[in-house]
Amino acid sequence: MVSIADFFTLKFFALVFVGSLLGLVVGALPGLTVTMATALLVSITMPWPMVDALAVIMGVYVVGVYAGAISAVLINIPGAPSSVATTFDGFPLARQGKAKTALYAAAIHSFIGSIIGLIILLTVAKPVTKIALAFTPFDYFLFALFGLTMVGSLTSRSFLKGLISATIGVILSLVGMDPVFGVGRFTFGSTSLLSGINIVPALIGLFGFSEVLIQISQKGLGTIAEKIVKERVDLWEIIKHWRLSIQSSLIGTFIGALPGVGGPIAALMAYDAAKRTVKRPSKPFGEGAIEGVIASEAANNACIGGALIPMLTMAVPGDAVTAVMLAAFYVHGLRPGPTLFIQTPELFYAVVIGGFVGAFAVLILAVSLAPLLARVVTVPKCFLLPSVSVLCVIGAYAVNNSLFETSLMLLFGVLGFIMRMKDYAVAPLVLGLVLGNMMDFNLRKAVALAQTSDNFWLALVYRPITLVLILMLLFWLAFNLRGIKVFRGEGR
Amino acid sequence: MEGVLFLIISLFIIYHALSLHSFGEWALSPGLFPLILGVVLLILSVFLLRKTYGVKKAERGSVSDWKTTLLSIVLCMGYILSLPILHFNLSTIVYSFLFLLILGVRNILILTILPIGLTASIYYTFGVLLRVVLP
Repeated sequence: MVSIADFFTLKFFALVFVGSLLGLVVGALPGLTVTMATALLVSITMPWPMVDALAVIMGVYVVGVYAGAISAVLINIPGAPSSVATTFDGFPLARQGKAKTALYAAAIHSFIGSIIGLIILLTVAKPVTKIALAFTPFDYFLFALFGLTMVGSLTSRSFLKGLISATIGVILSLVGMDPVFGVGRFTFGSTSLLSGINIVPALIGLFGFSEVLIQISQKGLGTIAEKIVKERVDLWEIIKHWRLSIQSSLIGTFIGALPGVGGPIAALMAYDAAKRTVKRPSKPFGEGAIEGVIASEAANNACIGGALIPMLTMAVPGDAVTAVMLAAFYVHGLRPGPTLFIQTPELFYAVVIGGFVGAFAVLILAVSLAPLLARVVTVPKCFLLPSVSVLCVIGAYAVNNSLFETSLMLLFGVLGFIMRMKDYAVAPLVLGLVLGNMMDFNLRKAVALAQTSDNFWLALVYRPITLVLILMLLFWLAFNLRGIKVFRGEGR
Repeated sequence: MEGVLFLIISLFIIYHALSLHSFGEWALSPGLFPLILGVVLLILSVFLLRKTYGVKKAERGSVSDWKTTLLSIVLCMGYILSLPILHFNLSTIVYSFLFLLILGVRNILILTILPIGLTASIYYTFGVLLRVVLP
């Protein structure tokens, strides 16, 4: 029987801290994403025990999401997509000489957000699992579809382009040998493609190498930041906003729990809620309100606990990082889902305790290392880009010790670059790639089962959970179409 | 342009899905899901064509340095191809040296130290500490 005490070992703590340090570096550096670092870690930790791999990954995840605020505050470039809303007030604060205040506010409220999100994960994950056990193959198909449609609408400015991106992702996931009949689909006679497209090189290419190409394509490879301002920080001014922090954390956890939505939307929605609920902000929002930084950072870190709920209970990733974590489970021959708590409860506890340790690492690292590490952003980008591209090649090679995966990484890197240039979001494609096979398998299974019944359509949809999921799908499609209009309006 | 491209891709997927369907019933057919996706993509590409017809281009990103971008892609391709011949250390030194040149770095000291330092640190971190097999 596994107990929580089994994780209070020096080795486990050390592994989370190693991951936290890596998370701090990749989060703070524009161009290096938490998703990319996690993807690299999946390949590196492949021979490790799963608990050790999860400890490092959780360190990277929790600290990496916080660290995105460092460059967002200092240079107005979000280190991660979930830090976009942090730039709205973080950068004006830095320009007013309050960069350290903004960084500490981000750290303290990222800590609060992480803890609240993880507590909700700890208390809600098991009941959700009971519901998940009642899911039929068609329910899983609908749930995956639900996640895809939301990503398509919320992570891209264009709903249509987001849907196209997701559809292409699902199609790419079908490349390889069909699991039922053993025939090659979209392999074009290539034996290397028979085993399908490995998600890790695809992710490294789409997020890492495409970012290198984006940076190269837009001239001006000078230094990222000029200097870091020194100042005294009034901690009470930061801590007194705990109510806003809890409000934003609850929003973040809820948004994170919706499959495929993720930190950027959570942070934006929490920022929007803060604008409406904080009557007298320290400064007007958008001009250096500390409340803006707090709302964004508490929400994006709380999103972690939320995003892990559907991933751990139903194998449906909540965001891009949990999509990579899902790949980590598959790489180790494991499958998250309703049976996770019964067969491998130690993995669930490794994720949760790793998250808690990572949250404390945010505080420790923010106080001791963040202001110093932030100086890395003064390194010219032309020195960083060769390092990132070599890491992409090595990370992709490490998956199967094969140059085919490396070539695949390059191909996806170029694809990601073209997509981003043409305003096609990459995240829906990634989720399509991860969810496609599950959708295919469950749809065929559901249709085959329904055919054995007297009434095909009744057998397929006439169940309470299925009907609820269909209604949710229709509701979210309608809501998203309206939501896009709202976002477009704000953009102007 | 994109709409036409997706239209062609969707037609190819539908054709491929139909050619896959020679194995029993549609319910378990390997072509069922690709066929659905092909039709979905076809509909989406028609919408995209309708949306973009007659509208001026308004893309989010703009490439101001095509030459360097294309050179970087070709260089990375060359790096991958050179790995089995020159192996990790030598090919990485040559690759990062050429990459720096492409990016406009002309300082001899940087051109010497950075490729060697980068290769050594990656070799030590990945190959020695993390025991990752390097090409």
